[in-house]
Amino acid sequence: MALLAAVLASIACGIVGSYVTVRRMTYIAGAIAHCTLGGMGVARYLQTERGMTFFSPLAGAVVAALLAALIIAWLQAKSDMRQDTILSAVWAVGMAVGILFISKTSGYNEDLMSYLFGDILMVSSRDIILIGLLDAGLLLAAFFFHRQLDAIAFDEEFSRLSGLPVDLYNTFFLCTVALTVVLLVQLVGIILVVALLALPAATAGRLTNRLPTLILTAILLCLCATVGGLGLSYAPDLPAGATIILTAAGTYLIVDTVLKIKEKIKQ
Amino acid sequence: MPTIVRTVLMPFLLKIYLPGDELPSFFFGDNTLTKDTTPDILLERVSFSYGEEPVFQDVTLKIDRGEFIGIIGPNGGGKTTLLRLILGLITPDKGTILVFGQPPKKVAHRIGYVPQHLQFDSRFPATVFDIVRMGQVGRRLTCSEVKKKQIAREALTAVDLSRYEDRTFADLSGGQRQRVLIARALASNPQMLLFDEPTANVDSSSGEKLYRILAELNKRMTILVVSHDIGFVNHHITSVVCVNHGVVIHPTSDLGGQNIIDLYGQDISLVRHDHRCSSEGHSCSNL
Repeated sequence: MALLAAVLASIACGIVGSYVTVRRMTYIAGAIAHCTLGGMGVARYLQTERGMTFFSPLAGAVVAALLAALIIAWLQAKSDMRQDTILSAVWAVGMAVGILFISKTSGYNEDLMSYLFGDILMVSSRDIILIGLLDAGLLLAAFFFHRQLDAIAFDEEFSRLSGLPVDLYNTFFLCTVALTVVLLVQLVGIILVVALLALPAATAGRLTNRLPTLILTAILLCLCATVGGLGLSYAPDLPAGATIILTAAGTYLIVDTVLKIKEKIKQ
Repeated sequence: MPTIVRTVLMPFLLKIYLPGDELPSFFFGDNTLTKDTTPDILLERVSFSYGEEPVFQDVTLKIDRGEFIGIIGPNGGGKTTLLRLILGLITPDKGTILVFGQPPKKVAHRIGYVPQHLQFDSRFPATVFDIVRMGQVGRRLTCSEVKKKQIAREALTAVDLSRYEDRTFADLSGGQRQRVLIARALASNPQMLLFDEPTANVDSSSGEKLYRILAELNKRMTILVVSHDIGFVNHHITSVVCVNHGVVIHPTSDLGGQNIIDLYGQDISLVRHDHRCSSEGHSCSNL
């Protein structure tokens, strides 16, 4: 079960992570990830204290993630705040809202904190289905729109002049990132989502020079990290999420070192 | 039969308006337009301000098919604003702009634009060919994928970079990257090319090479080049639009003398700011 989750998550990470890394939006992904806690806290509060049992933490997370994405986009376009200020603010406020609502909710709420680090071994079949659907959507979008996405990622103004509805694409992209983040949070937790989006793509970037091959390589490397991390964590009973991330980081270091050695040999 | 729209090169007339006033104040055009050729660019009594700051007031300007125009003027005088108006990125407060006889936004995809600064990720994963193909995205080209690739290759040949097709864009030199951006602008088979400072970041011999390429392209499309040097422009340019909170057109004349070539390292033309021309205009070759 965990293995299947790892495979499906890798596809999502590879695709979305590649675009996020190339567009230098990894911090935006981080801010959105932390806001999911806010959403989950509010949802749990509404469920327990206000009897709105339909409002599951997942629904709360989705709403919070989309809200965070749209707030960030709006502030970037309309206000004159610096981008890192916007992100830090959204990041912290999102978390704080979550903590506040959790504190006001009676009963056992510690499981929400487990979303900080995630637990891929406890993934439910519902999560699997959702990630599967997300993957299908991502693969279709990447297949049909990769030329437009590439052009916008490289030069937004030129794409605008070419006649592409850039703002529409960017909003769609941001919402996709938000949804991917929400689902990944279920697996590896909030703190580690950014690393899983960034590291495999960064490693892939050292090995490829074109975006399509970068995406495929990133998916593969993500797979290595998740499956490898899971395998490594099994025997010594280490936390799976953290092991996955360290595997991904280790892969980057190995690739980097090998490339540098190759450079030296050439000289 | 390719279904790309190709414009027929019509015989062009060099139309020069009599400036009614000295720079930098108001400018009124002489409206003796002949209606048989639609000008590529037509500004009529255009006014534009950034908030409270007026940039242009009552500007009229006409540019015909096949011209090779240099747009010059001091910084802050409105050159970039003029470009953005032509491209439809901004709209005038007053007056009308017509490009190919239509509002700029409708035809922006028929203009090849080469920006001055390109802020791109220095590690962006794309080959030269990928970048050139980006010029074809969203441009309403109705030909096949195979034909699009062929046009992209022709664009690369036009800028003399065919051998670099599979090279990583980020690995190229400044001058080579600029040529790739030109190829990107050419890949959509535009009817007009707009350049913002094409030689700002290249050495003078590469710059001259660039202008030779532009002169060759000028045989099949109108070219506008923004230059920040107000005294001298490349000798291929035939007419100059001087922008300094108003717009005046000057001809250029050949400047001989080995001194100038030694000084600037290339053949250049002197902009005759003192010149007043007749309403019939004249050809620059017999000044």
